[in-house]
Amino acid sequence: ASMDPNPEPASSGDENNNDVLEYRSFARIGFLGNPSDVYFGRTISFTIGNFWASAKLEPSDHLLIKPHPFHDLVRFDSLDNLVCRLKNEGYYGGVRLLMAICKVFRSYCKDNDIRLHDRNFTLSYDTNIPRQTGLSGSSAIVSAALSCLLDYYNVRHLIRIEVRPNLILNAEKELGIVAGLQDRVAQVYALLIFKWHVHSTVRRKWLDGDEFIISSMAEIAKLAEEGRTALLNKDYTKLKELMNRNFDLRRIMFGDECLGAMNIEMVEVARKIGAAAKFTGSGGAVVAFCPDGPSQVKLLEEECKKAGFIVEPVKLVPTRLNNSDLKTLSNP
Amino acid sequence: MDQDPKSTATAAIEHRSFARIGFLGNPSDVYFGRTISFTIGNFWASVKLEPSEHVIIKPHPFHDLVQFNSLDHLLNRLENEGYYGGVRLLMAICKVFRNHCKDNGIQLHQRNFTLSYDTNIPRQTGLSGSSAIVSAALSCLLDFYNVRHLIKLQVRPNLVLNAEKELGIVAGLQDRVAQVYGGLVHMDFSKEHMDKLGHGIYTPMDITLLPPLHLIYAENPSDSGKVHSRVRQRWLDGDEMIITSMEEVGKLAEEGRTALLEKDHSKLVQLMNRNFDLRRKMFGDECLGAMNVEMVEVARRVGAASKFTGSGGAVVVFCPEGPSQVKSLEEECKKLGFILEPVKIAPSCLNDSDIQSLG
Repeated sequence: ASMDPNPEPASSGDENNNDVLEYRSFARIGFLGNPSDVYFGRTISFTIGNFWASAKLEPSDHLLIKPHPFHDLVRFDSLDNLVCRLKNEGYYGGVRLLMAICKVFRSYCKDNDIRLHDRNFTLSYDTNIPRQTGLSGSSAIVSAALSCLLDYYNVRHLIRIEVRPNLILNAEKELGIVAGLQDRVAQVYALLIFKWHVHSTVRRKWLDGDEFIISSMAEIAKLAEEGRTALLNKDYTKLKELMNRNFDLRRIMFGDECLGAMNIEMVEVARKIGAAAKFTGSGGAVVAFCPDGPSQVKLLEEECKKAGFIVEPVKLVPTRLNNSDLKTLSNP
Repeated sequence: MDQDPKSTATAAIEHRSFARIGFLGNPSDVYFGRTISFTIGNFWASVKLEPSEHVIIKPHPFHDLVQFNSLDHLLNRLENEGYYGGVRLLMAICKVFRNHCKDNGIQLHQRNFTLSYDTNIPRQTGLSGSSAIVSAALSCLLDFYNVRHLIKLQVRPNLVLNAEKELGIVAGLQDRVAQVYGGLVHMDFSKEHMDKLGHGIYTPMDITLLPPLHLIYAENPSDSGKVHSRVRQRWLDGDEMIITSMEEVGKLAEEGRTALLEKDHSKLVQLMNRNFDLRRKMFGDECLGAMNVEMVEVARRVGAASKFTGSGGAVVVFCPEGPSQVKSLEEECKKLGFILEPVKIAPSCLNDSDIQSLG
């Protein structure tokens, strides 16, 4: 998944408290090539300013991982509300994500002889990334927390930026969250990037050598390749073709039952009015491109309203690689 | 053990559920076999339900890992205990209970509650700590909503197991039956019963039939099998050795029932040892874990009978020769850093309403 590789320092409410570290990590959209990242393919992803997660680190006597009053499900309006939230959100909030990155970070430092001081801290988080929408909410929390740790222990210069997505992925792997690297890479780099890198029945089939799956996945990876060229050439007709092909291939491989009727409906609502559309991740949200401009966007708005979907313009977030990070980029 | 639940609207409800020992026949419960298990008074989990404005699931200050002494301490606890405390167990049983009531047309009032828990059951010791929390919570819900008489006893272990399944906890029914009934219980999980009734045939037995037993466990049960077990897959694939061995394990519970009724202690020794030996043959040492196997062998070395209490982490021992043998065992355990305790049997916790539903 794509994560913000370089979360930005969030402005803390308490300007006087220099000890408090806070980082914000944005949601991401898999633009082209996903999910081939799990299959040694290629992807182009970018982070969006619409939604983010933030993590806050404050020095404290004990090491505390603070549950979020809402996201770490402990309080409900009723028994039915509990059942409903469990069904929609699952059992787990952000606490386990914070613990996992602490563990992975600590182990990484140990394994690489990076010394850490022994001062404790309290780690807390907040997020407005809608759950289960394929917008990479989990990895956003993890990546923001990692950024806090890098600063608190003053080891940012010792842990190369290319490595950080792996740490984030490893933290999620600890918890059995199955994903590829593309979310995390985008979040770490916070720019439109092109990256090479290393579910279900499709995964099994791929591992078993299923011809169709292997070639389809390879074709998806090629879309990212062609997408890079199309972006550089501002060839928007081509982009539309590639985006649509990306989803169509996913649909053939995974099948409608796996993808989910509502998710498919979101794609079709956009296609109906001539826009390009594909999943942002593995389902839950769709990225659309309206090549015909504002009038087409208006049509899309109307169609979405009818279907009960929310449509928002994507706000792009530029790179925030600072000097220290850029230095680590150039030293492989 | 079970406090009388107070039924007034403002009073708190509290239930305790004990750790359990799989005495004979485990793990055949997962394979349509038979088992005899009992609850022990040494360790328990308790759950408290109090009326409140919202539904609140209260994390435990220690067991729901949120506070640590240091980053290394966090690392250690995660490695030894995993990420999850009791909160998810409480939420899961709320969900399963609610859905069961919906599916069976059982009406519930609209009042909310706060659930909290405590436990002293050592983690990862095969003493069934998770299901103890769940089953105690279920008991609280049954009373709070006053539906105990509408959800029969035989069905409750399934609800407990389903809650754990929600969380990906893979297990059989025998622990949960023992904890719901309390005391000593014989269980028949044969396919006919499971298919027809949806549950097994459970027969409470007199706890005084049990000879004095001991428990061995380690403070840091870090060594819990490096290799994942393939036994289930092999059973499903029709592996002859697995199928016949598992059948034999189930038969041990049958013979064990007779041996208990006849107070045939030398037979019990034989059966307990055979139970573990079959497990060892099927699963292999790498899967069982060296420390766990060592706990069994330390007892065998002094001539006692021994087997796992569950799937590893603790061992139940029977010293047929009495106190002198127990003393030898104590010394051997001390050398190896194992803890040895006499088992206190916890009696049945069925109240009148439950016994009536036994039919």
